[in-house]
Amino acid sequence: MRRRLPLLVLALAAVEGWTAGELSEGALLARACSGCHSASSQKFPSLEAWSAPALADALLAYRGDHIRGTLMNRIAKGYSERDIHAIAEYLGTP
Amino acid sequence: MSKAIFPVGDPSRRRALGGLGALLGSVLMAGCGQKKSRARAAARGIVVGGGFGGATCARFLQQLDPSLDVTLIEANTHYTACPFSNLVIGGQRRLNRQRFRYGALENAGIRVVHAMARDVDPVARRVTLEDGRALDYDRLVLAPGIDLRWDALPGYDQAAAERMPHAWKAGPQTTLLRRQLRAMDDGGTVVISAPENPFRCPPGPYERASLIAHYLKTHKPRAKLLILDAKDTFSKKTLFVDAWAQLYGDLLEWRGLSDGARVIEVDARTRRLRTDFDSVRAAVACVIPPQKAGFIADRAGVSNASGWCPIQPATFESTQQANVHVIGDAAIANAMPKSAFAANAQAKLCAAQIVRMLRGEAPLPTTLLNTCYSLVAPDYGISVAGVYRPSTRAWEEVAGAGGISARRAPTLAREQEARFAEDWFRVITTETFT
Repeated sequence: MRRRLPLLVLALAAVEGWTAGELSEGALLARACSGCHSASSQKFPSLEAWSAPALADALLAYRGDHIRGTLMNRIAKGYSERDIHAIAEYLGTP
Repeated sequence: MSKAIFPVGDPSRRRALGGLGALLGSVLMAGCGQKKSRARAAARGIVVGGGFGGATCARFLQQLDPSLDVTLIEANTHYTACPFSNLVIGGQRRLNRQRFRYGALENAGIRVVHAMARDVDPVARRVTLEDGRALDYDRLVLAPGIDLRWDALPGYDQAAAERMPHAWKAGPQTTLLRRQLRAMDDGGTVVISAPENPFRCPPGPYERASLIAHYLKTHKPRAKLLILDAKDTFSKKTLFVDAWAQLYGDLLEWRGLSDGARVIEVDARTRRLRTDFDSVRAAVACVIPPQKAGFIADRAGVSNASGWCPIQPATFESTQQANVHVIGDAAIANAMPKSAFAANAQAKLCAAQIVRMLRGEAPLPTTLLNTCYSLVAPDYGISVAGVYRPSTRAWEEVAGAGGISARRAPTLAREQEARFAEDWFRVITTETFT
């Protein structure tokens, strides 16, 4: 028993890591966002609870200057609509 | 790129799996047998350099494909972060808040080797450590940061740096500059010498000048701060210049290349700096000399005559050596600045491209971004952002995006950006180290 428990833990950790290892275009694009947006942040909005459509709407609104942030307008303008939907798809909750 | 694919059972790529690796391997092979890549021997990824680029890349290599055998080679047992170290110099922060260890990486299954990497044989795919140990890799990521060029500025060598600190690698040099400022008489002149492009942290010298000026204004109001610059323009210049006039007035003076202010020689004994047209004696001098990629880049044959490392943009693979990637300050990422944010973002993308290539998938040319905050005073923050796309030749800035904070902004917006800066540091160091 003492030998099996760590094996199970390792197996679960490995499987979880496998699913976290997404390599889609959306994943690659979106990983730059966690330089500011993460659960450890106290000022930047966490992106964890957002749905994909809500995220895409917000990014497109920043891109079109329909809402004003300090930095997000400048950043969102660098991404195509396709990029934005790919990012939202990856980050958004199902 | 086809070299990146590991043929199943290729004996030359095989490695004796032991301990945890064997256990993981057998579990994965039993549990995920349908994944073809699981049946291969673990590919070996080595990362040299445990800063914002290297530590992040090691973490993401391991996270994106837990079957990889990931080793991080870093000489120091803890990392001292440069971002926010200007607050230490200005007396607003303690250096221990800049220190991070590698325990979280080890707990994640990364082998962390605390030794100096001495040499790289890119043909044999082997890294040699200072103690003679040799480690073989399938993919190598070099994130060595910068070395200071001790041959570039007459009079400025390692001994001179003990009298005129650069403090461009955070640690004892940071403390030394802080101590000198504290010990300086009121009425003394502090001189900062800023180098030509490219160098680590483009807005760094100006943030440093600002936070030293803030210290002088409050503690030594008769002192002066003079920036001698080898350039005529610099990152966030309009915002810095506006804020300097508003906050520090005559206390802070900037002179550029056209003013003849490029420093061409220093004398450490007298703390004298000679410029194209003038000579200035400093009570405290911070000399930020020209820089180049960390020396292991030379050993690996990935740096060129510029001292920096040319890369294939989308993958960060060296244009000079196959299977060696260069990220962070050492890389020539063209329009992307040498910043912690950029290194961290490059690291995540590089890790993903490596894992894709190891699986035989094509790398995806993907947009990256940079964000960089600077403090002009502890409650006055400004920012620059940029979005970059990889062409076949270079990282190019996306036109119409990015740029600096609004030139006219309410005090509240500057305060808000100062708080964002602090939060950015918390987030990025958490992602990288904790």
